[in-house]
Amino acid sequence: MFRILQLTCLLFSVISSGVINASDRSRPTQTGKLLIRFCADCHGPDDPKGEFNLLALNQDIADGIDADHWHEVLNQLATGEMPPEDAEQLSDKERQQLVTWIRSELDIAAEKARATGGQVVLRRLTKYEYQNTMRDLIGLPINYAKDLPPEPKSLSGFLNNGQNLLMSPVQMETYLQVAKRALDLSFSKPSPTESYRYFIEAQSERTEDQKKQATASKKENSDPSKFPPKGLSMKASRVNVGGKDGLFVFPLNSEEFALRKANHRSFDGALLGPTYRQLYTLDKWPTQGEMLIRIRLAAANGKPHVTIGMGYRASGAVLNVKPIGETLVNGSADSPQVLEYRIRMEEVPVFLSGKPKFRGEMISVVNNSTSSDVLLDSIEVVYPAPSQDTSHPVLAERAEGMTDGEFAEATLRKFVPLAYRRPVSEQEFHELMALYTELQQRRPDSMEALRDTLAVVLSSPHFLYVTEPRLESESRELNAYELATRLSYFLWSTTPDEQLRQQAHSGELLKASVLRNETERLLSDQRVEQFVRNFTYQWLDMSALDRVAVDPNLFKLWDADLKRDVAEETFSFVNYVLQSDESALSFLKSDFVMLNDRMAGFYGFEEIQGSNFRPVPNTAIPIRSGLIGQASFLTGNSTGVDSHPIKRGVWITRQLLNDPPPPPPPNVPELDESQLEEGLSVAQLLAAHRDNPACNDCHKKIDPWGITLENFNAIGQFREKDSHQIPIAIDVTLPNGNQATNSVTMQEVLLETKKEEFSKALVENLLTYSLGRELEFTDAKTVDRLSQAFIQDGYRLKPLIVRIVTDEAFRIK
Amino acid sequence: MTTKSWQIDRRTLLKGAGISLALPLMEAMASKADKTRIPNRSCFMFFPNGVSLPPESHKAHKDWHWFPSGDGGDYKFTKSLAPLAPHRNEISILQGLSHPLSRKIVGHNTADVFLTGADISGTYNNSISVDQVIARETEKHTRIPSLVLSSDNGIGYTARTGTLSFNKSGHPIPADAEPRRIFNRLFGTPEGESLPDQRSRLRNKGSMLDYLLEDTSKLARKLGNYDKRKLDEYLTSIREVEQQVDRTEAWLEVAKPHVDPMNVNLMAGTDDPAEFIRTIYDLMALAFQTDSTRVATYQIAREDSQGVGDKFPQAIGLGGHHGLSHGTRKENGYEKWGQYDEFLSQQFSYFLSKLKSVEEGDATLLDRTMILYGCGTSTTHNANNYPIVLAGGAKCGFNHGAMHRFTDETPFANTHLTIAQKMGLRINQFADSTGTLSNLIL
Repeated sequence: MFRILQLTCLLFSVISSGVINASDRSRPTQTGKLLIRFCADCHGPDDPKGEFNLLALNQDIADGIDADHWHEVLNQLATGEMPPEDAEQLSDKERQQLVTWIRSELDIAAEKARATGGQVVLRRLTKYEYQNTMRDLIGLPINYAKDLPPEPKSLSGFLNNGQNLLMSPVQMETYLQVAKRALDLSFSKPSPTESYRYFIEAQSERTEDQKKQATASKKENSDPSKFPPKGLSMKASRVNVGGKDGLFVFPLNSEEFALRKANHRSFDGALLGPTYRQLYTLDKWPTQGEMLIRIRLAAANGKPHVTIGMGYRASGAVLNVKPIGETLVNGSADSPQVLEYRIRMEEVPVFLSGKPKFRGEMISVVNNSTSSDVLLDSIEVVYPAPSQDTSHPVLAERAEGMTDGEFAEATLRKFVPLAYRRPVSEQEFHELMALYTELQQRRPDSMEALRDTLAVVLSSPHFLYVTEPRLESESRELNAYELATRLSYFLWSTTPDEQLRQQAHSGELLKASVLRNETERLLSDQRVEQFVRNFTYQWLDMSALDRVAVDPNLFKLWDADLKRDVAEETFSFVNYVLQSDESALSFLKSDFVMLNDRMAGFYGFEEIQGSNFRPVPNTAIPIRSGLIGQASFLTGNSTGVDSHPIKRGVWITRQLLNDPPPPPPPNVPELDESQLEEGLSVAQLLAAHRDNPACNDCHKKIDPWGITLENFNAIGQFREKDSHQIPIAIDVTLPNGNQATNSVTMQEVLLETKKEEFSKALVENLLTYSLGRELEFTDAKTVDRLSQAFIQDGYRLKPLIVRIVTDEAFRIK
Repeated sequence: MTTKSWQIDRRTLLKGAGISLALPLMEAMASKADKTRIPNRSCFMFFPNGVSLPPESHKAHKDWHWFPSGDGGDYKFTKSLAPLAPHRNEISILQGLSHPLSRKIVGHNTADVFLTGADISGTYNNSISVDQVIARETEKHTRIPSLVLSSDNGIGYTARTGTLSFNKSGHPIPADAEPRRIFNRLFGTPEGESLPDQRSRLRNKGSMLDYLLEDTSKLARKLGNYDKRKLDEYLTSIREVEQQVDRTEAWLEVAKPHVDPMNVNLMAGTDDPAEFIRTIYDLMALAFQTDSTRVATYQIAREDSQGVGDKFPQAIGLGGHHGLSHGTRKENGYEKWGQYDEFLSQQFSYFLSKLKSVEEGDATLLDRTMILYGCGTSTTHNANNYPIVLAGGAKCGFNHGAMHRFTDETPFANTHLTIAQKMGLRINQFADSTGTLSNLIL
C-alpha cells in the first residue's frame, strides 16, 4: 500500500485530506499532528505493531467506515494503554484533547449509523433453536436437527449471530426432508397387526445379591484404571441382574397383564447400585409405531441421575442403545416416581437381525450416580401406546363431512400462524391452498399433499428466520409478535408459548409492565434452562471441552461421565447464581462450589450423595471458587496433556473481561520447550518469551493470569509439582500491577480491581446473545447504561435481563 | 487383522461396482457428451498443521524429514513418505510451492485458500475453488457435479474452514463425512418406486421450491439491504436445489450404477482413523470408477485442532495433531510427528493402489485421475514451502517420477491451472497463476 520513501508526504496528504479537511466541521489541526507524533512510529504503514496501521484508517471518523477501529483507538488512549510506557508520553492535556475529539467525532458517526447499521440482521434459527421449535410445533420427542451442519461461531464466540448463520443448498434440502419425515411420523396412525404388553417386576428375590454387588461396586469405583471398553462410553461395563443382556422378558396377554399388575407388591424391587446398568431384553418388539414405556422407580438414598435407553447389542462388546430420557430421581420408596415415555420405534435403534446370539430389543436403565442407589420397582411396556385424548398438534379436528381440501385448509389455518409466529394473511392462505391443490392434482394422495405443503411452511424464511421486515431508512419499534419472538428465543430458545402468544395477540406485551411481567415469568419457568445452557456454553466457550483431546493414558479418570458432570457443574453454577439472585461477582470468586457426588469425589471433597448439583461452602476446597476454579474452564483451556497458561490467560481476558488480545502474528516463534527439561518452569519460560519485545506487548497482558493457575493440571486437578516434577511456586505481577501467588489471590485481585470491566463484559455478552448480533460502537451508550444499572442492582442477573428486554436496543429493528 | 475395506480384492471390487452396467447407461446420455472416450478425473486432498521437517543437524532428519533427500529422479524417501514407494513412477514431489497472497497469513487458515488462492489476509473474501471451476465443465457429464468430503461434516468456521470447496461467490460448500450418506447419494436407489412415481414426486418438489422462491422474493421487497443480503443466500440455495431437482429428473431414466454396499465399510467412524480415511478413499474411487462424478475434494482434518481429525494421531498412540506439530522440541517430537505423516502416507498409498487396481481400457483408473495431496503450511504456522505430492494422471499427460524444487517465483496456483487444463478446461489462468508446471507435463 505505502512505499517507505513516500511515507512522510503521504502521512501529511492523508491527514490533510482526512483528519483536517474532510468536512466543514472545524476541528483542531493539532489532533492530526498529535496522532502522527505519538502513534505513527509504531502504527504507521511500515510494519505496524499489532498489524494496526492508524494511517490506513478512513481519517474522516464521522464518516463511520472505520468507526470500530477509531473506537479502539479511543479506548487505548483513554485508558492510557497507549502510547506504551517506554514511548514518548502525551501530556494530560494532549491526551484529553485527542480523546475529546475522537469521542465527539464518533458520536456523530454513531448517530449517522443508527439509521442503518447496528440493526439486527435477519436471523436464521440456530440448530438448537430449530430443534426446540420443531419439537414444540410437532410434538414428537425426536432429534430434528441431527443432519444440520454445525453453526459457525461469531467474532465474539456466539452461535446465534444473524450475520454468520448461513444457508446452503444441502441445508435447504435437509430442512425439507426433516419436515417431511417428522410430519409423516406425526400423521401416521400406526395400525399394527400385533400388540404387546409387558409387566416387568424387578426381581425381588435378588435384592440380597444386589446389595452385595452394590457394595462391591463402590470399591471397584475407586479404581481409576477401569476404563470402559470401546463403544461403551457410559459405564455399561457393569450390569445389574441377569448378566450382560439383562433379564429376558416375555409378553403377556391382557388378562395376565392385568393380574400381574394387580398383584404386584410395590418396592420389592431391584437395587441398581452406583453406575450400574440394568437391561431387559424383550422377546417380541415392533419396528414402527408408538410404544408406551412406564418406569416406576425411587431413590434409595440421595438423588441419583438415571438415563433410560432403548436399543440392542450390536456385537459382544458394543451396545447400540440410544437414550430416550434422563432425569434426577426424586421419588422415595414411599412416594415413588413414574417416568412415562412414548417412543416412536422408527427413532430408536431397532434390533432387526435374527442372530440367536443377540436376542432382541432392550430397555436400559442406567444409574449415573457414583453414590446413590436406584430402586427399580417395575416397567410397563404397552404397544401400541393407548391413544391420548389430546388434539393432534399439527392437524385440525376433522369434522364430519369435511372434504380433503377443507381439512387441509383448516389445518393450515391452525398450524401456519404457529409456525410463522404471527397472524397469516388471507392472501398467504390462498397461495398455500393453491400449492396444496397443485401438489394434490399431480399426486392424488391428499395427506401427502398436505404434508408437502406444511413442509414448505417449515422450510420457509417466515419460519426458519426471525423475520422483522423493515426498509433501510426506517428504524422502527418491533410489533408485539416480533417482541414475543425475540423474548422467547432469548430466554427459552424456542417459539413463544400460548400465554406469550396471547399477550402478543392482544398487544398487551407492548406495555412495559406486561413485558416486565412476562420476562419474569419466562425467567422463573423451567424452560429458562435453555438460556442457561446455551448462553453459558457460548459465553464461556465451553465447546473447548469437546475440542481438547485429553490424553487417556495420563488421565484414566477422564471419561464421558466425568466430562458431562464437569460441564454440568458450570451450567448449574450459572443457573444457581441466576435463580437465587446471587451476585454475579460469584463468577469471579465465590464462597461456594456446586457439587454432586462425582464432582465432589473428583475435587477431593468429602463424600456427598446424589447426582444433583447443590451449592456447598468451599471452605474446605477454597481453590474451587468462581468460574476459574472449575474443571470445565481449566480442562477446556489445557492441551489435554498439560496446563496451558496462555490459553487460560486468554480465556480470562476474553470471556471474563471481554478484552481479548489480538490473534498471534504469523510465524510466531514457538516456546523453546527443550528448556523445560533443563529445569525451567513454564512460568520462567513464558517470562523468557515475554522478553522478546514482539511477544511482550500482548503476552504481558495474558500470561500472568494463566500462570497463577499452574497448580491445576490438564483436567483441572490440583497439583504441587508440574509435569516435569518441578515444584510449583507462583509469584507474578498481574497486568494491573498487583501481585498474586496462587489462583485465589489472583481471583481476589480480579474481584478488587476488575469489577467494572467484568460487569461491562457480562453486559456486553448478554446483550450480544439477546440481540443475535455483534455489538457496535453505537451500542456503547446502551452498554454503559446497563452496566451502571447492573452494578447498582447488586450484580444480579434477573434484573439485568429484565432491563435488557425493556431497553430500546431490544425493542427496535 | 480383521477384514477391512481395503482388503477386498480387485475382482470383488470390479464385480461389485458393476462397471459393466455403467457404460451402456452412459451411452444413453450420449446426446449430452461424447462418452466413448474414457474421462479424466481429478481430486484434491488436504491435511493440516504442516509436516515434520527436522533440521539437518537433528538426529531425526534422516528418517523423518517429510521431503525426500536428493533431487530430480534420484531422490530418496524418508520414512515419512516411504509408503508411497510402490507408486514412485506415478507421483511427483513438489517442494517450494505456496500461494503468494497467503504467505503472510496465520498458518491456521490455509485450508480456506488451498484450492482458491484468494487473499483473505485483510477482510475475508474467498473465491471459487479449482474443483468447482472444473465441475462447471464436467458436471454436464455426470450425475453428481462434484464430491465435497471431509472428516468433520459441514463448513467449519470462517478462516478455519471445514471444507476445501467454495462456490462461485466464494461461499463454503458443506462437506460430507458420513460414509452411508455419501454411498446413498452415489448409488442408493429409492426402493420400489416406479419411474412415473419418481417423476411426479420430483415435479411436486419443483412446485414446492417454486412456491418458496416466489414467496421469498415477495418478502425480500419488504426488507432493507442487510436483511436482503441474508435472504439472497436463501434464494440462491433454493435455486441450486431446484437445479439439482432438474438434474435428477434428467438422470431419472438412467439407473444408478449398482454397487454392493458390502464392498464399503459404511459403518466406518472417525474413532478408527485408518479405516475411516480409507473408506472415504474407497467412496472416491467408486465414484470415479462409475463416472458418477469427475472431481472430488477431501479435507482430512481441520486446521484448528477443534475438528475430529486432531484426535486421529491418538488412535495410533500419538498425541493431538496440533500438539504434535508444536512438540518438536519434546523428546522424539519430530519422530512422533513424522510417524503421523507416515500414517497419512499409508492411507494415501492405499488410495493410489486402489485406483491402480481398476483397469480402464488400456490403462488404469489411476492413469486417468490427477491427485493433488498436501498441506498449506510446511510447519505449523509457516505458510511457505507446502508439502505437496502430485499423483496419477499419466494418461492425462502427466510425467511423474521425480522431485521438483520451485522458488517463490512459481505460485502454487500453477498446479491448479495445470490440472484444470488437463481436465479439458480451456482456461489460461486460475487465481494468480502465471503458467503451467511445464516440467511435469508431457
